[in-house]
Amino acid sequence: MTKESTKRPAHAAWRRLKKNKIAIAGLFIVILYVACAIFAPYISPHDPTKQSLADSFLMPNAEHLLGCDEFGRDILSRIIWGARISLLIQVSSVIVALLVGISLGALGGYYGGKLDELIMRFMDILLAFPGMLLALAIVAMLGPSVRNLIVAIGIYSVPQFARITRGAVLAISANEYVLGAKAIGESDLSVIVRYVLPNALSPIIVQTTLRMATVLLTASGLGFLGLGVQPPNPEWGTMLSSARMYLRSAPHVAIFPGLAIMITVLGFNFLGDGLQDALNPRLKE
Amino acid sequence: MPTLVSAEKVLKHFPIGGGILTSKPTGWVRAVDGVSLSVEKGRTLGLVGESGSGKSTTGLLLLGLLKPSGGRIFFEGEPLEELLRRDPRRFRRRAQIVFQNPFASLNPRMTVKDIVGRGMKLHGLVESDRELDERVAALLSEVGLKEEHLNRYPHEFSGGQRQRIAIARALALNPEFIVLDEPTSALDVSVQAQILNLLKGLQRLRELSYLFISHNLAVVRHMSHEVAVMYLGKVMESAPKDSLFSDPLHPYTQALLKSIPKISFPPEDIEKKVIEGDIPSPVNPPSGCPFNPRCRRAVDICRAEMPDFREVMPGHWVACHLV
Amino acid sequence: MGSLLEVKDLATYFYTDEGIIKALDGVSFSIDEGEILGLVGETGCGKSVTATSIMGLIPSPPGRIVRGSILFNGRELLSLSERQMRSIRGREIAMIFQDPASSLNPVFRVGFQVAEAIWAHLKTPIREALLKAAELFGRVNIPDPLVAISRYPHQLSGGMKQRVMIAMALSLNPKLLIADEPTTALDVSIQAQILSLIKRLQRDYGSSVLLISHDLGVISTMAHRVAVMYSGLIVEEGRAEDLFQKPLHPYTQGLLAAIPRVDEDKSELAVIEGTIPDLTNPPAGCRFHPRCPWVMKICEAERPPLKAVEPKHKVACHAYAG
Repeated sequence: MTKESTKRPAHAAWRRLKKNKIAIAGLFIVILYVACAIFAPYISPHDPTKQSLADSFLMPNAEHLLGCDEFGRDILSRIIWGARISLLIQVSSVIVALLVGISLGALGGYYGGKLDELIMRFMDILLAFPGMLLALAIVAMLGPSVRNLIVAIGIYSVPQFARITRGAVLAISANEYVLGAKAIGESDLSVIVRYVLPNALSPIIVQTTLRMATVLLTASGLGFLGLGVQPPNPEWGTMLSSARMYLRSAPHVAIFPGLAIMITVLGFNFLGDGLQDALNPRLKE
Repeated sequence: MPTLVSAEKVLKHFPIGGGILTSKPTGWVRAVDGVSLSVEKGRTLGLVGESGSGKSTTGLLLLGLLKPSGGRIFFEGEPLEELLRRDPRRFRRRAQIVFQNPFASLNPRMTVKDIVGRGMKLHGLVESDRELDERVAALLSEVGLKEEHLNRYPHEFSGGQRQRIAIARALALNPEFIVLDEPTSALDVSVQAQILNLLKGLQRLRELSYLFISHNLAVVRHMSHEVAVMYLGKVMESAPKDSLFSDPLHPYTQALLKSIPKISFPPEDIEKKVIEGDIPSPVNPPSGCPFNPRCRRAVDICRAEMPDFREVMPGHWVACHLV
Repeated sequence: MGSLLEVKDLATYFYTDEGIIKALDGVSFSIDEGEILGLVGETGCGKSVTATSIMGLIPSPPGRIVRGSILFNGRELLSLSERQMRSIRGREIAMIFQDPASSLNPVFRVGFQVAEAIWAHLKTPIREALLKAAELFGRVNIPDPLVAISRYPHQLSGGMKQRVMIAMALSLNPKLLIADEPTTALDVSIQAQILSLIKRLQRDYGSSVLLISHDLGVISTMAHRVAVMYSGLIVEEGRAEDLFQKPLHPYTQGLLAAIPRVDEDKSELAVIEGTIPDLTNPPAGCRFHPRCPWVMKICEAERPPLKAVEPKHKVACHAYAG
């Protein structure tokens, strides 16, 4: 019986999100992270790849706020530039996953029947692999490079999006406006694009945000295993991997990239959970 | 009166089960099981029935939104199948639908202008965006809404107003035939009266033919010229309105009319007017006449054979062994 | 016969982001022992909030009962603790809802759910409680009660589920049964079965019933007395025969003129112009005045009190002041 806001649903969702302190903290972290990635050349205090053996394992000080690594490279600068590579991997691989996953999920959910069975069983097979192992296998097959990393992580994220989209499409297709659209002669493609998918956005947005966190972890994990971004490019997982040898003598070299991963992942998860509550207010009650 | 839409022994059976490995369905829902009816030009056929009677499915079949499993449907004498094959878009312009739930029948992400105008755009009925604006505004005023509503979203409207938008959407393609599927069942009585009056007015003005589907016999009585009563996928009785309400012949129609709580004084004794038993499932309907397990007058033949649908008086058709 | 329930000046507000929703704003009525009171009105008029207020089930926040009194059997319900209220709920006041499917737990057998309700209040051993459940199933005309108790909710039709709810409500022989749109989700032929069941049980058990419905036909068939609600207030109240034969309030008259009848032809349905008022900002004075055909100056300024203008027939309308 509550009076609906007279604004568009997005406004109402934003209002609910604003009230959620944890989600706003997450949003803040995500914005900071994206800003680092975009403005890396302007804000990083030093060249991330410039070695200076005299500064090896330098502890944090005024000149190098987070200290230096084993080659005397400024850790803060490397973390800032690392955000750039991570964001590139996250966005590209999630776009790959979104495009493929939404198409497959929408097709399966909308048409149902044999096609749906076929698509979803294939997704089940993909899901049956431990995620990391699947990405690992793909990268091992294609060879380690940023592009292959994106393809690998993209493929391994497809089933999640396909499932979420299919569920949403199934629920939305039951609405009478979908039948009404067919009654005025809309084509199937038009029904899917104009009537079904716009109403399936909420779960997809939530899933995208949460997936960003998983993808970052996977990319760092692959980097850590030496199959991700190759040194000397500053990627957080790769940084962590080379720092682990000096964990006792110079823990800060490992701690800061580790913290960067942790905080960023938390940021995306906080934001994703907040969006979930904001976009589906009924679920929470 | 010339006939606009007619159905002859139309069937619609939905399969149950059957996956990628087990391609054979495990059973059939006999949603519509041999329905014959006709809607006359400029008139309203009321289709009443309880849940599982197949009345909504029948509506979708007449619009060609579902493919019948058997039987034939004609639109102005031409087979619907033929019309849909020749020019499906042209047929879409002639027959439209208004649904029950105004909260599910409008796309929440579209503005009123898009909802109402989409069909005209799709069918190339307007030249420019300005013309579209004008046409949509004219339709809105025809259904009692204002031009200022043009750029609003469905959630900003009440149930009654949404139903007006849905009616404008159906009118946009200037159809001859509209299926009204429980158009007022989700509305309050005072709003229901407004919508029913609107629908009647539009029918007079535009010479529309309606198939008015409802479980509410009072509303059907008010809206219809002819009435067909469905039960478990079959038409049990159909007749001109006066004849059906004053002289119902089928035991089901009689019992249904009795069991509606009426405003009367002294209050009627509802305990004496009850139809016993539950409505059987259309998955496994009773043999013979589907009403026989609940019929007080049922005899052996009712359990064995489905009675023919016969014309017992001019225009009055009944499927009952005992009439 | 004395009053079993007496509600006086009850006001329930909901404090939301969009403002204070005054769902009930001074509702008074009473129910005698063994009486069926019909509460009729349209969406948002406050009939369901009345029921949940009596049951002490207003979700808080955002809801709060801001004033008034609910006397049940001489006890003030509003001053009881949640624990005391729990022992009244179910045992002395029972409730059935519109949607029986969502009132039953899908993972337990229905007989067990009824038995559990009995056990919770009376500590009857579960075996005995189950037998009692079967007996109750028989009383509400569920075929094969001993088989039916071991069914799960999804195995029952809507009508059967509502029978189970009624059996559960009756299990403790409550003095008051609140039925909130008990047949709205059911088919016509099943509705008649459930209504006649409620009527018979009310007679057998001598309970009082608060029957809430939007359907004037249902109210006319069932109720001894009727209260008509509009926008959080009762606008007319009287014996069913008086109210339906000679409705006084323009809203009641409008409603009766607006519904199509199955037993007579109407050429055109009368329409109540305008829409239901916004409960966060209801009209001043009489809340019906913006839609009222008889509106006078005083209607815009002063809220008319609900008072008897004929024996046992009350109306809240300035037109009957003189």
